[in-house]
Amino acid sequence: MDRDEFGERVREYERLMYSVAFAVLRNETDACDAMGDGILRAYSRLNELRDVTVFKTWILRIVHNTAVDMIRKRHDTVCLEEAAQIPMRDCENAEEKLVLREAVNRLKLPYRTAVTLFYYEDLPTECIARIMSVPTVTVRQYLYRARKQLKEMLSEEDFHR
Amino acid sequence: MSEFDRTLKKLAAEERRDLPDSARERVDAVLSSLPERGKTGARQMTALYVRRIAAYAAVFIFAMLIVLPNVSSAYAETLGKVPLIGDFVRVVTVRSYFLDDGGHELDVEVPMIKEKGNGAEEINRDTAELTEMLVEAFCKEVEISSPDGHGSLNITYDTVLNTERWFTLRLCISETAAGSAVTYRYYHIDRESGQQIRLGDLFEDDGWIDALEEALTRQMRAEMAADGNLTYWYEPDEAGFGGLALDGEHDFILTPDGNLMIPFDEYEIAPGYMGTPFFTVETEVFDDFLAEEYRDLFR
Repeated sequence: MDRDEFGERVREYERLMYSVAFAVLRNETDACDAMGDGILRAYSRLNELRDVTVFKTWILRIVHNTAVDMIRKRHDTVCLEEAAQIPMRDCENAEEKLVLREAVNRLKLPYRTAVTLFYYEDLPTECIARIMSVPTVTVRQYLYRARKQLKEMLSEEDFHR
Repeated sequence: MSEFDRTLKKLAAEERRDLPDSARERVDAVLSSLPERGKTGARQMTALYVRRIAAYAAVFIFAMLIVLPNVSSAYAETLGKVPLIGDFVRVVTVRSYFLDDGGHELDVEVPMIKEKGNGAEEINRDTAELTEMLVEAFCKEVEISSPDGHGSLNITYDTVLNTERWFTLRLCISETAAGSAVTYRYYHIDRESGQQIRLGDLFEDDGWIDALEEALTRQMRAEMAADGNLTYWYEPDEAGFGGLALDGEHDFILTPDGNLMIPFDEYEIAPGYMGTPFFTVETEVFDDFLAEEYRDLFR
């Protein structure tokens, strides 16, 4: 794969890469940093990619690991205010969506990442497992526990089902 | 899927965020800074990464010194599982990892199916990528854990079915950290087509899902009624979590005597103390939905 093809493939998954980074870091600036570093890291390791059909999982895993490395190097600062700044595509159920997003942002890692990728990005647990470098059963456990926590948080917020 | 789950999925899908301008600008900047690949590009990338390499050197040195993957073909042949009489497909250990520092144990065997066809290639690629990823994650955990930290990763494989028509490889992944988890992955090859087969491929329409779920629920109910110590989460709990939910990717086993067996991972359908339960489903339950080419596989 040459530089141009790499660039095209990065463009294809840039929104997803940002979503993964934001799920871990919870603020826009850090998510952009993780994304940028992840792209550089991926390009430098491109010769390790033996099968281009797994590019999506491969680069998402690199961005995820880059974001996790960043969070390990600094204390996990919470920027929940940014959740309120997320532009909504439409106004339908806007309040519920905002409440849900805030609740997801309150989840701890790795539950937050699993929930974002499963519910917001609609990725299968198998794919999430590869991105997060854990077995599928572990992702299912993350989701199971995360749902319980979300249920509690959302019932406190009088979330409508 | 529970009502609560459906609500979350719906709201989340509608609220999926767009890429902010700042992120798009960052991608533009990074991509435009990339050198061409090749020797010159490699040197540029090396310069670009001097600091990053230093930062990660400890991890790499650790991996080089302690985790010794054996990748020689002679070794693979030596360690290859000796085929039993009547086996049609041969599987060898193509790579192995071992580590024991008193607190952390790593013991991994990476299989390779010695068979031509897309199915074997797909499976070999999948198992290689999966094991490599888990080993990498384990090494990272060892690196950042305290000196008295503990943990283990054990990956083994075996052949569940190996006939002229069908081949099934099982990968067993056992992890111990704060808790423990065992998971199995089953890979199937239809040797007539050479393709990898997933549960959904066996059937012609989606009616099989309800049929199998009903049959499994009946069995779970019956077992619970007969033994008060058994618990299965075939229905979502009062909070709307869990419940039996099959799909086309779910693991399955074709037994040598022509039965369909559905295995479950730990915690998937029952509490951890129940281990990894499995159930055999009678052919008449799903017979009407079977794809023509797989009818002969079942009794």
